[in-house]
Amino acid sequence: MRPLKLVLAPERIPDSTLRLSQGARIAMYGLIALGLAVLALVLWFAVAQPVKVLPRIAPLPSFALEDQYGLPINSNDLAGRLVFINFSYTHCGEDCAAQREQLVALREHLRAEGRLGSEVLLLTISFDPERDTREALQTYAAQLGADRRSWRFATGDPAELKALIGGELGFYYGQADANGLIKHDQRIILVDSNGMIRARYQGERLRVQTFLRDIDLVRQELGSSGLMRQVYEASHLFLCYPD
Amino acid sequence: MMLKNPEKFMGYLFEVAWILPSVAIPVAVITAVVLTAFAVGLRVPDVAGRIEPKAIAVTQPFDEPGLRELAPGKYQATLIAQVFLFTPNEIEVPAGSEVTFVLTSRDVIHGFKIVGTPINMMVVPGQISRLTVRFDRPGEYLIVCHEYCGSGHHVMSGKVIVR
Repeated sequence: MRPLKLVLAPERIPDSTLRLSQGARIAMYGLIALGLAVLALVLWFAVAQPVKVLPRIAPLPSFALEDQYGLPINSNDLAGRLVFINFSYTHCGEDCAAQREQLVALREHLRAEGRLGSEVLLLTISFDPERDTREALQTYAAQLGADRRSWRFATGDPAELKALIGGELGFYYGQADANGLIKHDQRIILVDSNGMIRARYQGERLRVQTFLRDIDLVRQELGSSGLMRQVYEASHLFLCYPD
Repeated sequence: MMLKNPEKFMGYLFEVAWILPSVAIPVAVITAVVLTAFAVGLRVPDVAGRIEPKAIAVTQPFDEPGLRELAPGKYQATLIAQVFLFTPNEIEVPAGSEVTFVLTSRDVIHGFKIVGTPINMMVVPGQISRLTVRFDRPGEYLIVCHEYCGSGHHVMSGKVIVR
């Protein structure tokens, strides 16, 4: 019987080109380390979300309405400032009290900080043009103590309002019932200075702090430049949105 | 090397041909998962918002589930899913309508599929699911819950009637 001969390794690696030189090996490990570092950074950014942005929901649909003084107001006029737009009607009464208070509180905060009008504009669009005439809107504005440069009240053609609010934005409002009340979605939207809708708000528990935080988020993002701009872009990519 | 030892070279080539894909495939899969999860914004279900399940009855639009016209030819259908039914479970729209379905669940995870349309989503308690579809052809479209939700799962259905 012949002894079993086990060959564990070839005598030598015949061709030296398969072996990496010292420099090439360092370069290879360096590349692998760099790749892992980039991967770790990307994962950390996506999970920890160190920078928050507001989503770019959709461009504000174009519209042409008239304000409480009969002045035309269209979507292009709003560019350059942040605009909070809500959709309501002056006969709303108790149903809209919470939202009205939220907007008044926001206005007071902004006024105290000196940002009202210059940086942030409020716009109330009425979907009840039949009853909300110029006079009715002026009276309503006076009740809220609204300053004509910082808080405008607009309305227009019923078909255009329906197409804008219901068709484009997807907010429902119905017909006036026997008591003159109109069922509607109580929503506020935030439009940035480029005409992009950045937030949609809803609910009675909404706090002014949320509005103020969002104003700061949008302003920081739009005011950024250079590398920070790219970081904000990355935040959009990774959906780093505030709660 | 190639000229000196062609056999060794071929062996080396085969080895590389196996090693490279075995690295490239997992890398491609991980990249695809990361990209779809974070960059493309793939979310299941679509993040249309959050809702407190206990407050469904007082939260718009679920305080009044049903169909309502947003604008001519555009509708919003608000449905609540619960064991083992959809509220409402029948919706009627004219042909050519664009309908946005907005759903949430009162209890457990349900599914919402409208057979013959691209509508196919999960309905998760605490979340709002939203999808839009256009109904061009008249007929009856079956709505089914396709996420096992309990003993009565098989009877959880409804329909969209397009006239």
